Amino acid sequence: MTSPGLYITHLVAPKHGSTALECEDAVCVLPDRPHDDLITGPVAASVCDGATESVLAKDWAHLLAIESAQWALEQADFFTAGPVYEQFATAVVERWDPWLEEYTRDRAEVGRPLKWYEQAKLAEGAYATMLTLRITPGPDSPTETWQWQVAALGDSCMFHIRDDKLIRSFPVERAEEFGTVPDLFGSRNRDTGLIGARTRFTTGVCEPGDRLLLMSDALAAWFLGAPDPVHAFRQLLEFGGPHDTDGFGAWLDDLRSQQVLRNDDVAVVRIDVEGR
Amino acid sequence: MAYTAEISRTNPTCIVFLVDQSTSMTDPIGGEVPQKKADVVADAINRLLTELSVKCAKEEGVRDYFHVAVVGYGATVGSAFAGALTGRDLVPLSEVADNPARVDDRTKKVPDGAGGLVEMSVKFPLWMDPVAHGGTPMNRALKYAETLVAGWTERYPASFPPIVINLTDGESTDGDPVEAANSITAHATADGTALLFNLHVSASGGSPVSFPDSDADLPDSHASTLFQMSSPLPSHMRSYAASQGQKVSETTRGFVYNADITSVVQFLDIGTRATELR
Repeated sequence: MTSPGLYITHLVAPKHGSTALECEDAVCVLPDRPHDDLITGPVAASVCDGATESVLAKDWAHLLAIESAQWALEQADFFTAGPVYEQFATAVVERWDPWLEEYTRDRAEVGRPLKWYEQAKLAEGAYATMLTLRITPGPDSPTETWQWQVAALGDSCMFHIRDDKLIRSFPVERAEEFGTVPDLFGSRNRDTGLIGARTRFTTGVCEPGDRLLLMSDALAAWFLGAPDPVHAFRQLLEFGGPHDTDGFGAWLDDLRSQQVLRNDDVAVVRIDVEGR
Repeated sequence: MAYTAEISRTNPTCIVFLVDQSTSMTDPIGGEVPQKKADVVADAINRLLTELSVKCAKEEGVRDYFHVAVVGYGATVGSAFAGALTGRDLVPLSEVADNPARVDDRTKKVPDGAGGLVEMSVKFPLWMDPVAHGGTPMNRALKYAETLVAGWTERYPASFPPIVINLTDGESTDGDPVEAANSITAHATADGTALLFNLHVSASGGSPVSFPDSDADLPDSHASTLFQMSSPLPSHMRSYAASQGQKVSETTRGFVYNADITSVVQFLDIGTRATELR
């Protein structure tokens, strides 16, 4: 039997034709520990996918990922459409304008003031999906079960795998449901009631040996649409840490060339529940 | 035909705008606020280029998902760009965005994030001014566009097909334009045949019409001819139009009569759309 705990790793790769700096998918895992450290306490992870059609989407996605993971880790009531979640929504939106003012000032200082088209687009705000998970050891000692909670706004997805089989997909359940108009968290959206109402929440329980995967939409669509889900899952398991970044990128490009994976940025978080 | 090819920097497509600049464009269009047709089409072009630039804007600049030509036809047929782009045909969108002839200040209502609207000052770039002089050589203009389309499909055979958008009062003075229109839509990439859309500005009155599926309610033969010349909207464009409350069917065409055509920019799919929660 392995020691009870969690191994967590994540990978992010830009779409074909974009650079790593242009990648608009963001991941935050807290506590921030190496992928080969066994974690025994609560963990929060967030995947945010910046919308192609917005300016500074990657920066908003990063800010949203960090802020949501922090709130999820520290606030037990984050995972319901209530006051705590709305306080989070207010707090993250309030961080955007000061960040943007600093960015605008920095651009002017380096002789690259915002162009007319950036100003026009920034007035509308930046947009990203948000998928946030918290996984907590159960009350039993030694730990036998782990309870997870998820908040999802948009089409980044969580998958719960047991014995190589997909037992839960959230919030999207079928590959055909993906599109170009998912619900998005806007950097200027102060309607926290609406954000809470559109966010979907769920919970579940992991047993030792289970795995949780968080993915942005393109890879999630491939995974849900794979003709052989077990084979697809095992392919993903080939990539176990940051040292696999290049191989992961090459594998994605191969799927794209076969036209089974939409050309988009990709983010994936993998959580292995040990103790079996 | 699929019309599903990715539009990206490595796989761009082209848009050719044809702008009627004939003398008849000095006439006003129907409606409550009389406007010269030439003003309407020049304003439409400037707003289309603005919308397109903003749609493709990123922090490092505008991405070249599209290459754009603006061709005027009246006393002559050729590039209608003013300023630094004068005389150019297909121009990468980043160059278009960075080189308007001038930039005016206007006001615009934008969402305030709490369900309301707030007025703010915005920059309004202009690439062309209204012109109304000479006949309406629509055939020559369509053939000019065909040359650009043919060159594009040869250069990018796998791209989303070229789109030609013709803004006119429909009164061609060099013959029936239908055959020249068909010549454009005969060109294709692996993803589909080239698309031809028309904006008809007219003094004939009647209600504005956007993306109809028949010419039954159109007021005159010019409108009917332009409707017949217009391509059916591809499936994903119909879906988007429907999502915006537009009534569509499989025979809906890319035709607009005395109405706003800038929504056509939103039909173009370059990735996840930036839309507020509703």
